Amino acid sequence: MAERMFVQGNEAVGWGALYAGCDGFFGYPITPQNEVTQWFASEFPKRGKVFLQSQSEVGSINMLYGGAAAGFRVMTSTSSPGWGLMQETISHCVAAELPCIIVLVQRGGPGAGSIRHAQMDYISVTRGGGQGGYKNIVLAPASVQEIHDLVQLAFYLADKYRNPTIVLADGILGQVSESVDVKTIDFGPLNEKDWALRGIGKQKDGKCRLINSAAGVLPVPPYPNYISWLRHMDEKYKQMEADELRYETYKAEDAELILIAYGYTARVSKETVNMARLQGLKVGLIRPITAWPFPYDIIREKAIQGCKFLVVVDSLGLLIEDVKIAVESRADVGLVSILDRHLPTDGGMIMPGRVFEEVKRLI
Amino acid sequence: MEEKFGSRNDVIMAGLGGMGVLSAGKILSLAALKKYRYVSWLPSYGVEKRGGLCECTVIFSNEEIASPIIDRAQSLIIFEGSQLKAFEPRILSGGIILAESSGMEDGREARDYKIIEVPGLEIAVSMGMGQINNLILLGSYVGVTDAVPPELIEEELEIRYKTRKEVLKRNQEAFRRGIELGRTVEG
Repeated sequence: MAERMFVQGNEAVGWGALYAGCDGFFGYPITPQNEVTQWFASEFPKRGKVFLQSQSEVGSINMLYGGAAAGFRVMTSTSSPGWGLMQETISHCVAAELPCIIVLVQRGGPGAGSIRHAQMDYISVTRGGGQGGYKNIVLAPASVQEIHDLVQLAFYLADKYRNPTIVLADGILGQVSESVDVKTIDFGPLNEKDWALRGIGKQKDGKCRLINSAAGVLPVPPYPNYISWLRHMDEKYKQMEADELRYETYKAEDAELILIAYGYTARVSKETVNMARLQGLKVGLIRPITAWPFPYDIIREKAIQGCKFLVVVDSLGLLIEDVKIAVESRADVGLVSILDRHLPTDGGMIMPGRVFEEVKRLI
Repeated sequence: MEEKFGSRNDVIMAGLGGMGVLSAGKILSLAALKKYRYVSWLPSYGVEKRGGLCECTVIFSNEEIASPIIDRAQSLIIFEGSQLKAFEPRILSGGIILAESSGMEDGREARDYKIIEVPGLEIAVSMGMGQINNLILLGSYVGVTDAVPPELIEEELEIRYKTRKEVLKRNQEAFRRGIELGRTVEG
């Protein structure tokens, strides 16, 4: 039975994690996602769960490695500068096949950038930002309800694939409060974590387990050598691509111009589609829910049908690169970017009216 | 009670940090949640704890809210008169602006909206507490628009200040005074 609550996006991370059976949160506060840390600090210890404020984001991600290796459902949350600091160990988590959740509430960059919203980490998130060229499933919520839902899905997918899963939000989604149905979502059964380091006494076969992130140095059973292990990883990434693609289409059926956006700018774009439809303009939206795997095929299909595209993103572009890969030069791809915000300060936002101006220019 | 704007209401509240802009928006949101399926509250403020520009957008609707960010709203509540000019472009045609009369400057662009000047600060000070102006302005908004039943706001105040009876009383009085002001203007 769902409980209807009025929840801030950052707090919805906590509710989603709680209802997903998260055991521990390790994090370091950073704007604009401080309420995530605050939520776990106030809600987890009293429920007998672990909350630990780390010394830095480097500490958080290494604690995640340890907690995941011991078989617990663990997570952290950060914003863009903290995301940068975590890259090395995220790569190690992938290599060690450790399921864990990293929530990234993006803010302006590069560097310390701004403490307000932005969508400027898309490439490092979707391409594997650390060493070694790996893949993580990236879930991109566009509402507070979806933050709650996708955090739960993230735990399921992380366990299913033994791989980190990223939840990619932004400062607007973190700060906005919306009405939410809070409840446990059942995604189906999962294999037992027989691989986890629980101590010999707790293993059914009474044998030692080994987790390491250097398969080319110390072979990881059952893979006899580095390349056979890499082949296994490649197959896993391909299975994620085949089975975990998620996206939303909105009024895209008969659209001549399709907006492409994720996160908060997808909400702005949806409003724009409604404005356009009121004036009889055939405009639709394709919203990636997984930023990786990316919905290339549906976009390519629409390009073949003759659609134009407009990417709406609060960065200098980034997302447009994936859209251009999808359309294979078959269609025009326009851009409404961070340079089109309604104010020149860090508080400026991409507004529906500005997107609509561009829609009218392109259609 | 019939809503003046049908099944959807949206309002932008703007002022300076410390005036209770975000609190007023939050109280309205929580009250609206009891009557509407979808509610959103989007705050926007800078790094300053007090005195910086501060705004929030509140939307409540029985239809899905496409975007919590909107260019223009049906109503604006301006907590600091001098900001009227800056926020004037963000009112919809036919909309209502409730503006704190103190600090108001001349030279606004008279478009097709209704403006109601509310001497909220003066009343709040006469009631002995300047800080309650946010409830006077919120009350005026509810009095003019009937966007949510006043008792839902009162219930929310009771929850918010349940351990602080004196604060509750002052806020209730301010809210009721605001409702009266709003209804008088409307009448």
